[in-house]
Amino acid sequence: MKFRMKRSYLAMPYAVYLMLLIFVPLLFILFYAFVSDKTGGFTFDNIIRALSSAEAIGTFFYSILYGALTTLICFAIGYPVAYILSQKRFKMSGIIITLFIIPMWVNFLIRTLALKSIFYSADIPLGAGTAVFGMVYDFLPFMILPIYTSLLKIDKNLIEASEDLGANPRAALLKTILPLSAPGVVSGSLMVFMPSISTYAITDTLSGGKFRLIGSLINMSSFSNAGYSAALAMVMLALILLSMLISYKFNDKEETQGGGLW
Amino acid sequence: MADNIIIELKNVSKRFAGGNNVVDNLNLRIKKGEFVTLLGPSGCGKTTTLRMIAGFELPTSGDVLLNGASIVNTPPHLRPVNTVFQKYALFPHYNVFGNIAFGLKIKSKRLIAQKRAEIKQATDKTAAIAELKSLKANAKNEIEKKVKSALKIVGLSDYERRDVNSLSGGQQQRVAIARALVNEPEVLLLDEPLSSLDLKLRKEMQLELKEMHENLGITFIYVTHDQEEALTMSDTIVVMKDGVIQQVGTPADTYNEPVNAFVANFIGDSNIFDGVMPEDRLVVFDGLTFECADVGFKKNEKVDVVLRPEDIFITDVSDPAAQITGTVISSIFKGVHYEMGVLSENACEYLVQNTVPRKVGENVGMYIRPFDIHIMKKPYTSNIFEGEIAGAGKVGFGGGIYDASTDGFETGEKVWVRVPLGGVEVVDDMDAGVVGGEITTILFKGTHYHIDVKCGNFIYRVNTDVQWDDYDRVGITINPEYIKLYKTEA
Repeated sequence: MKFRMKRSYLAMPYAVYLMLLIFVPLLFILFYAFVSDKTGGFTFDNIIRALSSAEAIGTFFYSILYGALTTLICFAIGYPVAYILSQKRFKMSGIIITLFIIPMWVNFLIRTLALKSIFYSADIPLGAGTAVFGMVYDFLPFMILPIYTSLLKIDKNLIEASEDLGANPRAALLKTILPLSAPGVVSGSLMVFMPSISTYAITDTLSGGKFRLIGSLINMSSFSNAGYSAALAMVMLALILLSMLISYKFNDKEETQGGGLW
Repeated sequence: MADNIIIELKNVSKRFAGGNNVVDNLNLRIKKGEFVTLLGPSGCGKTTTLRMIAGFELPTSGDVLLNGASIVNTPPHLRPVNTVFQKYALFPHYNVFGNIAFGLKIKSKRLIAQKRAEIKQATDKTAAIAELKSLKANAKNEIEKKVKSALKIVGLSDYERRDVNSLSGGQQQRVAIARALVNEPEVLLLDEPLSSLDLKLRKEMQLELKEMHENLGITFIYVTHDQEEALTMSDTIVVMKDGVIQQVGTPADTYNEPVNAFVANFIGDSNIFDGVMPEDRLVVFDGLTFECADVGFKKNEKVDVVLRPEDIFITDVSDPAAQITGTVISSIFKGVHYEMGVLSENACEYLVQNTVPRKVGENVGMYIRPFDIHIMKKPYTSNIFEGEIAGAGKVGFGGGIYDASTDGFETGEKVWVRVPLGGVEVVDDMDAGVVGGEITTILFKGTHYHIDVKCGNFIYRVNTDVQWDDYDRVGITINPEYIKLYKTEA
């Protein structure tokens, strides 16, 4: 039999990688979530605890709350930045975009530790505020870039048309530019929301142990209580899948002006 | 007289950051209720002119007046004009109703906000509040009614709930027209609205637009590069080229009495030849002398001669009426007539329309009636530039430095430079010339081509035997012996 190169073979290395390092570990997590740490037998206890214990529910609640807060702050800072960058009149957009991307060349742990040193030297006590600050700082580029691309894709004629029909600059922004850039806002929000609810490195480093998000809880309990930790991870995965499904729905509706990352 | 002028452009110029004048000192008055078409090839400044009326572009200098008052500093959202955009520019996030109601909703919001402000000031609050309530209650119905009637005008009744992306090009265009019309603008601006429709639909829409214009009585300002469209629809045609108005007139005027060779070539098919007027009512072209109806030219003045292809009659060579004899070199059946190319004895090519077929290769005679020969003054007979002596044997003009005989002139001296049309040479490679530019106009003159090459802010006018295409990017060289320098005092 003669070997014939097909284009699909090029996907093989990644498929192997995907199977070994993502799919198989996920199966392990799924397995542990239904296995009792003490007896080693099948149990629903881990899942029930992850869904009903005060500790788990509280942490999920705070994770979603702080994730939403981080997303909101990133949007409030990121949208105006992306808008200004997308203006043709603004000549330096290339430089500014690079300035936003350059920090991403440095490992985020190093950046986070550097931030911690800055807080120490400025005598700012660590807590929820500093943790959110750190998340905003780390995830802001993920908000700006999708919004920036979707703003660039907007047909300038549409903005002129809304002005032509009587919209002042504020109305043109609210009724044309904002809705047309919605796909970018949705992708950006997901890109910020998903890592913020699951991060533990940033919150552990920058909260001074004062508050925990779901990522930290999973990390901590994985040493003492692997089944519980696995169950928490499954719940978090379900949450992330849910938010992705919602965004899919949204992007479907806005098929015309895609700015989505997926 | 002046009070029925709705839009007036006064000495309007527009220069973009690159430095080229897109619109150059334009003066135009548009009467209320008129259907005016700005006609010209792409890049002639017609769309820029429209955008200045809409408010999307600010003139570099000059004034735009609406009903006698300057609107040059009024932002687009406060101008009582609406635009139909070339690519429709419908909002994809609204359905048909939402698109058409867009302007109405903004207007009604503004009215309600105004009323609220009045209530704060009013002494009798109850009456004002009642007014506000009725205003609010009526707004929705009013908008719905207006959208419905606008949809009826464009023939799309019951399309309110449709997604705009599900509509065909023609339907989208109708929605775009309805969206503009529903605001009852004083002037409707249309920027090549039909250019992306297919031919048959375009012809239908032309007639429909014309009918809408007649029924609504709104002033239409229409931009197109399609001369047939302009002739079909307009009350007045404004022919533009290189940011300058060439001719303003009725469709019949621009067709029958074009002011120059460019207009004649752009509007309808035509034969344009170089000719000479030895005396009144007599013109020489193609080596032959013809009687004509034109007077008022200098003795032996060089002129452009324009002949419409339908005005040249084909007959047998033996016919005593035949003034020109030639050979048929092409013949295409066009439905009503045959379009033929006839090469005369003096190697001049005529475009002729004739209902009787003639075979290719056949010898024929042709005659033209004197009043069908249109004589036009040449706008220029050579290239004239302002220049400066750049050194011994070097002179700078027209955006470049050329070799020339500079005897009798000093370095730095300002001079007039004259180059005959035949003295300019066009080369294929933009960088191989002294200056590079783009071909903006091509006229076939029977025996040769006349082309305009735009190099930055300078236009070189060239006679050439080579056939170029529009927008070809070419280089310009000039043989030193053709460059004539003149003292500025002279």
